[in-house]
Amino acid sequence: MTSRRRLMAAVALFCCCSRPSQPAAPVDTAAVEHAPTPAKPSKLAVARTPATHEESQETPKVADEDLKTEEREANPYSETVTLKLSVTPQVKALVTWGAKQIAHLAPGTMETEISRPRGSGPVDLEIKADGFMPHHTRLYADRSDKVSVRLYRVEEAPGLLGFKRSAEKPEKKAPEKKK
Amino acid sequence: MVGGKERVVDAELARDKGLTIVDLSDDFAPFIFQDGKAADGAPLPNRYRAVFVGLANDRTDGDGEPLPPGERNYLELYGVPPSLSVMRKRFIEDGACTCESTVDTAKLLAVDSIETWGRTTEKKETAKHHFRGLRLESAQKKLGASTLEELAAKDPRYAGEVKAHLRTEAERAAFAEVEKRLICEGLLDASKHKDGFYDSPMRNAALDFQQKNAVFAQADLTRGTLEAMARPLLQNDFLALRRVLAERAAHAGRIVEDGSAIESMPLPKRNKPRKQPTYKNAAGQDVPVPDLVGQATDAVMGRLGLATAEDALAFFRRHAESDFRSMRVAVRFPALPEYYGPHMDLTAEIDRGDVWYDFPFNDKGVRLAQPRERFPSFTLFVKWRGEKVPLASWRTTIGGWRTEVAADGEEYYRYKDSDVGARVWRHIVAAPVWLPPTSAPVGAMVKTKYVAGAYPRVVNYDETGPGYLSAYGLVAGIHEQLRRRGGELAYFDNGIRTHGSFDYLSLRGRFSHGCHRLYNNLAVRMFSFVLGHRRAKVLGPMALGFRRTFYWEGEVYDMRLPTRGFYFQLEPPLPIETLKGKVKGKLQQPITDYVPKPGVKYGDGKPPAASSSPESKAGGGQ
Repeated sequence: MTSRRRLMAAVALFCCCSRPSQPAAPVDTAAVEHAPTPAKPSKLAVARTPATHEESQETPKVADEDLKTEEREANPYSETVTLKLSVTPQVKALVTWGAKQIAHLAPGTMETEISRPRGSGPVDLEIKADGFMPHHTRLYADRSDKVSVRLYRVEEAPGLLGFKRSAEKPEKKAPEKKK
Repeated sequence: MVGGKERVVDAELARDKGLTIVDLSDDFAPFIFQDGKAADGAPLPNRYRAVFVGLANDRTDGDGEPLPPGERNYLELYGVPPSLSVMRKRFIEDGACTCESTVDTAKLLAVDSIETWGRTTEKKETAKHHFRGLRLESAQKKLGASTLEELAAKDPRYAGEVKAHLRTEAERAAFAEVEKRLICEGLLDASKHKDGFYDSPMRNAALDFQQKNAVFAQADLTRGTLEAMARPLLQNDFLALRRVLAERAAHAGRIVEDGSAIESMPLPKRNKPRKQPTYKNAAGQDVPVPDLVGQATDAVMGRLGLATAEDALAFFRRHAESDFRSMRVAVRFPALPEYYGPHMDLTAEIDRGDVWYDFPFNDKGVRLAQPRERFPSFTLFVKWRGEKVPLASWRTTIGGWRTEVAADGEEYYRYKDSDVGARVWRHIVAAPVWLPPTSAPVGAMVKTKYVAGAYPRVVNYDETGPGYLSAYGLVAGIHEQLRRRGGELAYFDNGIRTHGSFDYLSLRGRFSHGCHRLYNNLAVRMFSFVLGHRRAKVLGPMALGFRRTFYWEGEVYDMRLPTRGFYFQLEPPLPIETLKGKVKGKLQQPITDYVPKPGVKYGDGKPPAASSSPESKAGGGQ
């Protein structure tokens, strides 16, 4: 392939793969990734075929596309923050933070609120309910935070990201890193 | 310090007299972690600042949670130097120790390094050494040799074994001194350690020692480690204090020249010394680029009267811990070169050095030699009087062959290339987060952690950040490319960053996933310098709102990352160019697709197409 053709191919790929200019919606919704996103096929990626540097630039994204300023707090220097957790479906559930029991949820009262000193570190919660898999989530105490958790029944596990890999073969555990 | 006595001076007055105020307080954080203000005056809190200060003061862990009693952060190699209060504690504790008299430094330095193994191999090697000793003893008796050396001389067949035996003996003797030193320094609990074995408590203690003393090794008992152990405790503390003050001085003076710029100069022929980098002064003369950081550090140490370790001990004994809540010192720094100004014409360059695209294994899975004489380097320049003047030049990384889990769940090799050509830094991100691609191993995203009185399994945020262990380190500059899109120009991000890294050993010749790593402290220093000498807008914390729910061993985990990091926008952007380097080997272009691992059996069909997400260009220190 001549360098001119390579350049044209790179431009064509760039035009095909460029993402739209409209800012993307934040991902922090109930939307959950259930399975690994299929890798975007690269038209130029042919097994063991060398590519030019221009071609290897693959699918760059528009740098500002996802940039969005955080919602401002009324008082970013307040001493305490409020952390809110809401859980679905409406079932009896126990919320723990390490050894501490934070809340007993029940149909009709599926929300709980914790007040924490600002900047006192994240709150890693575990939610347990009969018939559902234990669910781990985190609330951040560096500003007021809220999270909605949808519990999953055991039979829903195959639809979750990681199920196949977790079930089929042991993976490397997280290396012990000094904190 | 005047006439050997400290005195309180008015900071404004000192500034007016041309002195620089160096912040020695425990509350210090580098410029990139300072809070900002929006255009309308609203505060933009830089949330990692509190974590950074907590880490530097041994108060909190990387999440900002209190450290367990007795626990200490040795994070200098990770870019978080200890605070002056922590240094004070070290000096006062170590000043009361007499480890020097308990350790035989001659034995310690009699070897270049001490070979260590895992538990099983260690037992085998110990037994092997024991039986070799018995064999040689028997041969000695048989041949009537009084020493092993004599045995080797009498019967050269034993020479090899004798040499190996004596080397191991010397290493065992040095190992015993290492044990003594670690116990004496309070890093190893003798009750938890089995003498003569490199067990986990001792391995952790050695790592603590290395990180406390900025020795570049990860628990291997290297020559550098042994040399540091041969030094008195206070001497090591004094070296650490100098490093701490060097960071404070660099940030106070907003300077970056540390004497490393010479590394960017071409290698001369015939063993001549490298040419010093220079800049032109007003008279048109070539003036060497100074080592401003070194000179400023000397000035701070001189001002504080810290010529020796004993001076430092006296200084810390003289000052209560509370003094370091607000201590600052007024110092006359070296004059800044003429090229300094509020908006400097800075550019950066990454030279990829020697590059190999060839697959590095043969069909049998044996690694092939791909030697490199020139390693990747990063250089910051200022354009001044028609010349590009190098200010600092450090080792960095480029991409290379890495393993990656493909969409089919199998692991392949893939060449992770570093983009070549002209780009810009438009955004600098303090405490950036990295989003693991969905191909990232799920097991690595879970860890056990102490949480409020229990040890539950939680999501592992180490590599995502924000934090010093983040794949993007403590700070990152995003490589953006101005390209035309549908008739309009736009900046594009292909996932390449120049960023700090916790994986300090990778800077010594390993490969990244395409990004350019720097030591965390240098990245923090350099980007603080850039922001101090370029027009920039503080954008503040940027929302991310990332959430990934995944399954692992019967439980469900939410990974939540609300914030991308604290953003600065350079106006105008700063040009950075990545040079192609010298491509060695047969292939002149990289292979873009997955390559099966030799010897691994895969299912039918071709490997899936390789992921092209910008996130796949980082990947931390794996």
